[in-house]
Amino acid sequence: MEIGRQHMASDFGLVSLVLALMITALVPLLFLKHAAFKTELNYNSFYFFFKISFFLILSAFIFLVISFVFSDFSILAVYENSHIDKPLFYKISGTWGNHEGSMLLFILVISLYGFLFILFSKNLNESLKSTTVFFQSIIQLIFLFFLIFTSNPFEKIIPVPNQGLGLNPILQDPLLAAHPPFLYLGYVGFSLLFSLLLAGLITNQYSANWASIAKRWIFLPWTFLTFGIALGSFWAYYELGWGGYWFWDPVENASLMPWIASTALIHSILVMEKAKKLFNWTAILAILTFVLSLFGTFLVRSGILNSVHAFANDPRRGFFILIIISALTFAAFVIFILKSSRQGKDNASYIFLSREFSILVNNYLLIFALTVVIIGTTYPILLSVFAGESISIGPKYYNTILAPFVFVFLILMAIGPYLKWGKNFFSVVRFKFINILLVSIFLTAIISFILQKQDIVFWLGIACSVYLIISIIYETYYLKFTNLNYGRLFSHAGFGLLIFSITLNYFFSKEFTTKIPLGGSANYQDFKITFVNSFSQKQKNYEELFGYYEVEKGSTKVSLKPSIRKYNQPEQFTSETSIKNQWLSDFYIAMDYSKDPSNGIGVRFYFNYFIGLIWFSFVLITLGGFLGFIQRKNEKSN
Amino acid sequence: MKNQIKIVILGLLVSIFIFIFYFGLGSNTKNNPQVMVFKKLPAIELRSLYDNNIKISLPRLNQEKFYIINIWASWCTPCRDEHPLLMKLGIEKKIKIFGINYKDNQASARSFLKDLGNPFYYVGIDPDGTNSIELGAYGVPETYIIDSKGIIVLKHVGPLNNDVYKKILTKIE
Repeated sequence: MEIGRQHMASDFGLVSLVLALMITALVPLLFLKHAAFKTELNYNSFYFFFKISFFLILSAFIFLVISFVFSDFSILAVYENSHIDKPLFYKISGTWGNHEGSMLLFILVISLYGFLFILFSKNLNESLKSTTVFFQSIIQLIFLFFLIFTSNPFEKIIPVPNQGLGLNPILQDPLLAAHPPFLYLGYVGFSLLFSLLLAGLITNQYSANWASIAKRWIFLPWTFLTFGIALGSFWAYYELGWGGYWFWDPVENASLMPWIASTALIHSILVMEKAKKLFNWTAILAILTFVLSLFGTFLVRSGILNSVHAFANDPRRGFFILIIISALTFAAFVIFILKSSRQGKDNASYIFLSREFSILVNNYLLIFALTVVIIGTTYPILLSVFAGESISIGPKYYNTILAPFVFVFLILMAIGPYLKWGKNFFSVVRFKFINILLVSIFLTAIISFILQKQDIVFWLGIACSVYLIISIIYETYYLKFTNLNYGRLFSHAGFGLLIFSITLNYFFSKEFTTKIPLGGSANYQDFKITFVNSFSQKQKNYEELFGYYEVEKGSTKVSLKPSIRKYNQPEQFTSETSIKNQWLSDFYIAMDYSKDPSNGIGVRFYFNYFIGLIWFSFVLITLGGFLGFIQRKNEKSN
Repeated sequence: MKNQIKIVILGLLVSIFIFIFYFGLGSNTKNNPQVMVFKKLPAIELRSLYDNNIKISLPRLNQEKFYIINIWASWCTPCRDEHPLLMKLGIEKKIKIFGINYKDNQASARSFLKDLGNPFYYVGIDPDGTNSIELGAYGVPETYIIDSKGIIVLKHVGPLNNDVYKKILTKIE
């Protein structure tokens, strides 16, 4: 009985998926037929078909989850990625822990955004709305074809094995299991904006009004993407034993690229709405955001970067994704080139020190940062293709190039919101700026005195971020807490706080590697680390070595218990770090493996200054995005 | 006219993009299990299917010119299909075959060999599949040919067929 029910789930799943493909194909056909014969489209049934396709994809996904939960090993994807003894949570997350399932989730998110768009665009004119759904269904159709014909998640395996192949132990972590859905809700969410843009261009409705419609469809995915990036960063810190929050790793950069592009887009779309400028620029950013999201997925998943995320080891699948990205990019830019020149007459003149001028400059800075990240990420790939050389580009490249621009960026973020659309308002608010500047220089001097740090980069980093934070506090006070744009306030304050804590972390964090004999201790500046004890434990497939350390810094004393696991087959080490936080800072130890601990074990010790504030900043930025999404109507032209 | 130029430039850029990343895809073999081919066999120790107290290592140096490693399981139907060819190789051609019994029930594995014949020189068990992963195996069945210096000279994923059988014979003879 049990087995019969299991197999039924997978059969229903496959049927739902094939039906979804057919219904999805119907949506654009219906639209084209009416466009060709110039008849009136029956909008209700048109949207109805799209909604049906959403529910079919949703049910296919649910059936796949059921197959994973009940360990139906007649499905290849379940057999290869699951195991009867896995905890329920990892059985469920195993659904998207493989190429096929994650592609199904990808399509589900495309469809979900289309579905939400239909539901929440009741007042939109039908031509724009239906054309958007038309483009969204085309994207959905392309990926459904890809899924069914190259990576069918319900592919059968005959005969049915009685046990699955399991999952790499490193990948069994709750944060890791949770971050792909959030990243997808971000990445793939930009597809709707992409469809909306193409619809706006095709129907000649790409205008300031379009910008106010489109705004909310950026905030939502942007919020999810920010949260997903924060989760990934948090995971690398706590689980991977990397000792920091950001490494400019290609996989991290892949998610940062669409984030930067969409951040620029959020701002340029405001200019388009309020000042009726930057039309072409906004369109390019909207295309770029979605294309970079797809490109990020391609980089991470195709195996072109050697990473824990590389699922699609079959180069043929990578090639298909490459063709899909190229075709969508080409088609979108062709529509843009043909249609943009006819509408949205870009008024290219900018009033110096107007609101839109500050945003324009900020956009240039963001695009500069984006270029730096794209070059840093793809250059090693290009080099390995053409010169056969393997290099990796480290944090130094990014930090050196980006730091000076971040300072300018912060000042603009502080000043910009005080300026007025379309006029030079600077002379009116000049005194405020000078006052805030004096206060932040004063605070920087105090901080620098307390922490005993004299360094020009340190001063600049602290002064600029404090300047931004104070200007936000002042604005809140000045507006007497009424008519506030909470979305902007929270995300900007979060960004100011982020740079503030990164500066502190960068200058005051300690990292030091040494080998300490059992019972001995090591001194490093004002830290004293004592290796008190160690013991090892044999488990079924690994041996775990525990260490007990005491760290003293002045009067504070913390004890840390890191461990390291040595897996036998294949021989592989996973590090269990030990982290204790004191105020907002962390003491962090990761240890090496040694057969004979009495000879000494190598340890990596990190003192991560103000890391807690970095996580808090991520929360503020995410919250800002969310508030921007729900509070969007309140922002009247000010 | 101006638009056409733009579109041509766009097309060129997209083609360059495809070209570069297509070759990027092709050049990566890091995750491909095929990489084990022409590498030295890793040290693998296996308990015997017939007596769990006996444990032997797969030979990394031997007098034989070549020998075969075959990964199989009683629950695997393709293994059943390829079995006659293994019998030919092991019994008729007298080639040493080391069997790795993959994630299997030992009793059903023994009855499998009792029913269909035992072509193996030695059958080791791999209950949790870790030894097979070390060999770079995808799944079952898989067949490897090892030369006298312990180098993997040929790897076949999936059941043996007549073509592969001939390939193995030409390699060995």
